[in-house]
Amino acid sequence: MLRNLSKTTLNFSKNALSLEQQVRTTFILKRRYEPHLHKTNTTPKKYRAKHFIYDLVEDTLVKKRENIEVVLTQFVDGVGDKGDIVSMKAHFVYNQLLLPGFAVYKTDENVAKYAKTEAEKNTVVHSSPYAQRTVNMLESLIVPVSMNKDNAWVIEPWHIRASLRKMGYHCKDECITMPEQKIEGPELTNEGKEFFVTITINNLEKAKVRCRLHHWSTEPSERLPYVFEHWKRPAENIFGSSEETVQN
Amino acid sequence: MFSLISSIKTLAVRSGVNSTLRTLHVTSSLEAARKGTREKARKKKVKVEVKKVGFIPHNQRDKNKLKILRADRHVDDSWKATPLDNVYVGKYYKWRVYSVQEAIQCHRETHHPSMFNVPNAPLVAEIEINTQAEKANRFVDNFQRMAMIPHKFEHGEERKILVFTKENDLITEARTAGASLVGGIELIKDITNGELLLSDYQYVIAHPNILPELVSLRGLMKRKFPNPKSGTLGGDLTDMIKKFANGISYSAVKDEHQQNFGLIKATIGHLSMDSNHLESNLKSLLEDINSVRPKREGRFITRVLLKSFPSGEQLKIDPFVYIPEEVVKKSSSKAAPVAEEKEVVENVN
Amino acid sequence: MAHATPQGAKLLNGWKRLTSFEQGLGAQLPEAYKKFWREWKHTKPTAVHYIPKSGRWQRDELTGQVRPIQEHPLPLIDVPESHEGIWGGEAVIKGFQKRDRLKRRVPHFWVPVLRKSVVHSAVLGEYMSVVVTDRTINLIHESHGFDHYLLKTPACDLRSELALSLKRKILKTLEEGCPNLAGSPNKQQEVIKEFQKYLDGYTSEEIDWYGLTYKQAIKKLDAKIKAENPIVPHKLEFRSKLIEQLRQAGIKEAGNDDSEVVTKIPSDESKNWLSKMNPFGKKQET
Repeated sequence: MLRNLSKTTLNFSKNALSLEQQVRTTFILKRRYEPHLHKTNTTPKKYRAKHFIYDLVEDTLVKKRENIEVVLTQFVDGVGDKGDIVSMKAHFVYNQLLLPGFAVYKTDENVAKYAKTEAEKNTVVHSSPYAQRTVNMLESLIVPVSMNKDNAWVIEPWHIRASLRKMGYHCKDECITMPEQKIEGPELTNEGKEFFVTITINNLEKAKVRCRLHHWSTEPSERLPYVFEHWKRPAENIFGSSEETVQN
Repeated sequence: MFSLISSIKTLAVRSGVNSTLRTLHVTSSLEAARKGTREKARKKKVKVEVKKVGFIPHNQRDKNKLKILRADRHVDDSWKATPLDNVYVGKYYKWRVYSVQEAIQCHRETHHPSMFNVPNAPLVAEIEINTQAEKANRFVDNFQRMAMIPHKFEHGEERKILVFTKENDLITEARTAGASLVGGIELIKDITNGELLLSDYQYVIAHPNILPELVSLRGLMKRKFPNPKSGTLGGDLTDMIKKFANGISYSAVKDEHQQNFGLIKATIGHLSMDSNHLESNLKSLLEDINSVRPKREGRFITRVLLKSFPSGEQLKIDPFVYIPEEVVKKSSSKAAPVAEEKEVVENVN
Repeated sequence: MAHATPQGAKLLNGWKRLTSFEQGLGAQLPEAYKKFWREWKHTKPTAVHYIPKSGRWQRDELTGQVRPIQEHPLPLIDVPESHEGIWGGEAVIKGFQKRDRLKRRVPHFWVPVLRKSVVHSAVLGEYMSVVVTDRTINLIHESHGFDHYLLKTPACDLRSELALSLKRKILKTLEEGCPNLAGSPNKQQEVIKEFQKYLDGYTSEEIDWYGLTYKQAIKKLDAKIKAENPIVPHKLEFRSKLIEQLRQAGIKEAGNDDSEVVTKIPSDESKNWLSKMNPFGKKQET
């Protein structure tokens, strides 16, 4: 009696649910030999061993998983600003965005809820989603500035720009603020010493970049001996004191 | 007595057997037939010569059989983001594409007297090409060509040019144009006598008026024999000599492991030259390379990088400002570029 | 003989064994629990490990013969470990593989790939480390959150006792109005507003009985019956009777209030126990 009841009552709820699209990430199997037909409203015939021989139709675990769309609830470095709808890999989104609460699933309510207000739009904290990442990377960098050992020079912004470009960082002259004091050379006492330049990204974020001066000669015999992993060694400031001369 | 008789009998029988065998197998006609078939069979057999290979250390044996996963040398970074900030980290974005003027300016900065102090460094263009021919499994062979450039520069190679022509005014014209040696029939005689070595000269140019006499040298010259397709046979001697004396000699080398990747390294000038001159040199080089492109869809030149030693920078430029990106459709009367290119290879090499 | 059968005289379909809901304490289980039991055990779960056939008839492609479609779901095994994690409806399949036409079939177990991951319940306000499958995570994404997934999915598809107990806990918390989130009233209101719709399907009693295994339900029922009919020791009963009798007999010591008699303690006992101590006495030999 219980069974009959269950069939009638619970099929309602099942039908409603089965309308949704199914996901399968698992072994999907198929019987190799179909069991015999049985009369309606009777119990199926006894299965034989061969009816339990299964073939693998698909292993969805090895299929490429689709990106999922989420709405960011706050600024996330390298991902986006508040209210942005981002589509990223499911694993990253779940572990790095959804679980810590940096993002919510994309629904109409959530999009409306986390959309930026006018006041928030006006108070720009980050000029772009990647600016903070650029700042972090620039600040962890030691830029070797190779200047000539034989000709006289004064370090100018384009020297820094060229040195940064050689390291794979692109910027413009107007973004670079040099230290107030001039750095002139060639001056071998300054070899391997540090100075700081300030790089302004999108006229907003500022990064203090550590530069190290090196002297380089065109003639191989004139060159200074190579210091192994010189970027790992501590270096003095070029102006003597450490922080005062650095312009912020 | 009995035994004697029996021995004679056996002898007689034996001789009889022998005679029958003879009649069966020693017939001359049959012998000949058999010999012929055997000969045929022998001829069919190809002698497999076992090549003796010297000792190879165990870790170097069957090296080409190893299936190492090699990265595709045609780099496609179109999936990467386009930079929007004015300061950015290059590795997260598409390669920056410079204009030629900008790229030259960047190299001049690094070669400035205050930095590397090599203001006269040669500017090298590294041109990557997709060597796939019309079919997916056919590839363009390695080729070597000479590109004529509008603005000459010191390329540092020794190029001796031998010119054959008859008329006196043409001889003087060739001399003034910069040929190493100019001559007519007497030069041909010198060569046949062995007094002049053809191997001393990299290029041989001829005027059509001496062609009938020059035919006798075809065997000696082989690939160097003047040919209008390779531009070594023609009426305008000055032009040809200038092309071979000042042009850019480049060769496309396919990757050892990737058939569809070819690389051309060519110097297009020095940094101290005028930027516009460098640009027009590069343009004529690109046009020359594009002239051998196979008839298929898609790009032939895939990427162009400008480099200049001692700086390690590689600055990407857009070649499609100077040449069409896709095949320009023309009437089918023109010969297939691949066939033409093959001949060029034969002649120039 | 008819009196001894559960069906009475209707023996048309043969002898029927008593089910666990028809004998002993099981017969007393409320309808609320039986409803859950039907949802859990007697509902056909969604096809996870096979592709269900649709329609009533199918034509053989080769012969053109029309045959009825009869579905034979693959038997699944719920191992004890599946009740300690949330496998999203997956289970172990026991069967055979026939790897070659001329080779004997070999037994094989298809076991889902399990991962340890974290799930977050907004209603409970907690992060939990659970063993899941990729399917679980996908289902969570599809239903836009762990709570939604649990509340939407019927018990037969959850398959795991852990998931069911979590679902009961979530339903209970929702019914009580999320007292655990009282610290942030805004969030509490948001959560209640978001999940209120799921409470419509259940009565209070159903929530109380939801997600229990048969053993747990019996235990709960047993405790409930015992709480309603507490066993009082005869000692207390007889004592109160005696006092009553004494009171009726007019004995003064019985007093008016029996509690006074029971709790009365001699006054000398209320003295401080320290006064009994003699610090200068002879040390006790042990």
